[in-house]
Parts: sequence; C-alpha cells; structure tokens
Amino acid sequence: MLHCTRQEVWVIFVLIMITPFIACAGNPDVEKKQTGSHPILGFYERFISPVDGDRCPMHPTCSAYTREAVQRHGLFMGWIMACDRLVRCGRDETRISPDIIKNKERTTLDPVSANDFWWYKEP
Amino acid sequence: MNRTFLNPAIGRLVPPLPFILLFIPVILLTLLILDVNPGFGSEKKGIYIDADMQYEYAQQCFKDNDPSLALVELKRFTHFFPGDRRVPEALFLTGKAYYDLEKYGEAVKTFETFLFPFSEDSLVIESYFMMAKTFQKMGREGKAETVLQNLLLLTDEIATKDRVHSALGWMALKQSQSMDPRDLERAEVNINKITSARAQEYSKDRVNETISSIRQIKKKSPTIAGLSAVFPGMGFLYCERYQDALISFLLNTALILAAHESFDNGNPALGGAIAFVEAGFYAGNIYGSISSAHKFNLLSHQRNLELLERTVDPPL
Repeated sequence: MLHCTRQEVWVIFVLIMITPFIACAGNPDVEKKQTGSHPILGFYERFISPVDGDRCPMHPTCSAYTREAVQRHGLFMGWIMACDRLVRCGRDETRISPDIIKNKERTTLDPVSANDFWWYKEP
Repeated sequence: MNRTFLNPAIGRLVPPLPFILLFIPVILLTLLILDVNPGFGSEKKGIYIDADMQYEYAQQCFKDNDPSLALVELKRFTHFFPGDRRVPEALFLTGKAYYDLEKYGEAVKTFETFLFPFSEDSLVIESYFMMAKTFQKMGREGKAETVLQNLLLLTDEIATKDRVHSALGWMALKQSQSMDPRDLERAEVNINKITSARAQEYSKDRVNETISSIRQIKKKSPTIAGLSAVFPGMGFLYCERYQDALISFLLNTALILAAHESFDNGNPALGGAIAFVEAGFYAGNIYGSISSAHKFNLLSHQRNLELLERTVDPPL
C-alpha cells in the first residue's frame, strides 16, 4: 500500500494548487517570438508554454503580462504584479474589464497599464 | 505623240487623276472633323477643370469620408488657384483632413496659420477649437486648455465664450478620471459660466447632474482595501470581487500551512521555497486589493461619463 508522510501530502497539495496558475499559458508561437528578458520567463515561454497550449483567457497572457511588468517596474514589483494577475486571471476580471477578440476568441483586456495607473505614469 | 506640259520625270510622281478625285472627299472629311473638335488628335485632350470644379470635388471627397484624397485635392486647389477667395477655407479643410488622418502635428501647423491676427471670423474661431481638439488627441490637455483660455481672452462674442466654457468644462470632466476632486470643481465652475441663453444648447443641467452623480458615487477606499488584505482575500471581498477573494484566501492559506508544515517537519529548504512563493502571492493579494479599489472607483466614474456622452455631444 502506498504510504505518504504528511509532508509529502502537503507538497502534492501545493503543487496541485499551483498547477492551474502555471497552466495559464499563452500562444506558444507568439511567446516564442518574444524572447524573455528574464531567464525564468524565457524558460517558461520556451519549454512549458508550448506544451501547455494557448489557454489564457486574458490579453496579454499572464506570461506576457509578467514580462511587461518586470520590464516596467523591475523584478520585485513585477513579481508581485504577476502573482496578483495569476489570482485574478479568468475570474472577476472577465466581468469587469472590456473584452477583445483575439484569434477569433473572446479574451479580457487587462494590460499592465490598467493595473498600475494609480501609481505609475509612463514617461 | 505624248503631249504634256510637265517634265516627264515630274509627271511620273503625280498620281493619276481618278486617284486624286477619290482622295479629295477623304481630305475634306478630315478637315471637317478637325474643325468641329479642335482637341482631336492633339495631345491636350480631356476637360478643363476650373476652380469651382476642383473645390467642389475636394469637398465631395470630404463628404465621402476620404480625407487622404480630400487632402490631395485641397492641395491641388490651393496650388493651381492661389488667388481664389476660398483658399483660406481650403486651408482650414486641409487641417481637418490632417486631423482625420491622425497627422496631428501637421494639423496643428495648419490651424496655427489662422490664429494671428485674431478676428471674430468663423474660420479663426473654428481653428482655435480644432487646435484644442487636436492637442487633446495628442494627449496634451494642458496645451488644449491654454488655446481655449487664449480664445476666451481674445473674443468679445458671448456665444463663443459660452462654447469655450462648455469645452473647458468637458475637458475638466474627462480629466477628473484621475480622481482629483479639483478637476470636478473646475468642470462645475466652467459649466456654470454658460449663459442661460445657451444653457439648453450645451446641456448645462445634464452636465451638472453628471457632476453631482459622480460626487455621490460610493467609492471604495484603497487604504481600507489594502489593510483588509492583511487577511488574504478580504481586500478583494471589500471591492466586491468574490471569486478573486475566494481564490486568494484558499491559495494563501494553503501555501502558509504548507510552509508551516515543512518547517515543522524539519524541512527548512522546502519550507523556504514555499514561503518564497507565498510571499509573492501574499504581496500580490495586497497589491491586487488596492488596485481593485482604484479600478472600482475609475469604472464607476467612467460609467457616468459614458452615460453623459451617450445623451450629449461633447463640444470638442
């Protein structure tokens, strides 16, 4: 019989919890062209996103959003904004923000500028 | 004996008489055609375009929503008929064509030619308004406002002053999306300066109504949202984002418990990694809550403005 310690159960639970967020992928073809400025993002866009498929209901996709946030505000704020976006992706935001048609599919427009307008002004 | 008064050598070159008789009608017919239609066979064929035809065609292009063609035709008009009385009007339309083509820099340059010396001529007044509109499109609201303020100082016409006040009021109303209450005050001051004679024309009451309804909007406080987010999900709940609140609560709780368990079971490496991930999501939860409050307020504000724009045409 398979025996798991409590710790192993927690690890599995955490991985299961995080999976839907990691799975928030964009169009692999598009993502490939946009070479990531950060090695982790680059790794995700090169190896994970193509396998996972184009399923993010938001525009820009979560990985593209993260890249833009990191480029605009640096790694620290970019990471926080990315985590915020992963929590919001595909939920209440689809009810609140405007829709656009991308690849013949309805997606929710939620760019970085719609989430940093209250503290950041583009130079 | 061969009797002839011509040299026999020349005589051989002259065609025989029946041949000449056959050609005479052909030559006459050709001359007749050339007389009736002088352009026939010449290089200058077609019609001659005068100033009226050229200007009417340029205007037609405008009416047909083809600003690029209108621009070409207007330039042709001002080039070939520089002395025509309609040249200033054509120049104004050129500026409008640039505006429609989103060539705002060129449009500003064109409208600028009308500003000095100032007169109450309709083209000059319209150029001030068009210039302000162009600056607004360029995102240079300050410049747009300065142009209108200058017009307000220069004009003596009450009708123009009313129009300027209406435009300034609307501009301040749009700027109030930055949530600065002073913009709403400016909008109100300008709208209330419109004289009662044109109050209906500029929908003074309807705009004032929108200003007061924007003031009455139940706003979400970003500070309260941020402070509530100390307990994961509560900030989103405060901003009426129920799904986000639930996900935020579950995810943060799970990660905190997982990190705690890992440290408890003597696995600090795993605990540290989970805590690192959790720190991002926790900070994201606070950031998202504050951001959601700002977005909530902006959206309510925009809804009121959209309602106003649906019923009233903005003056600019």
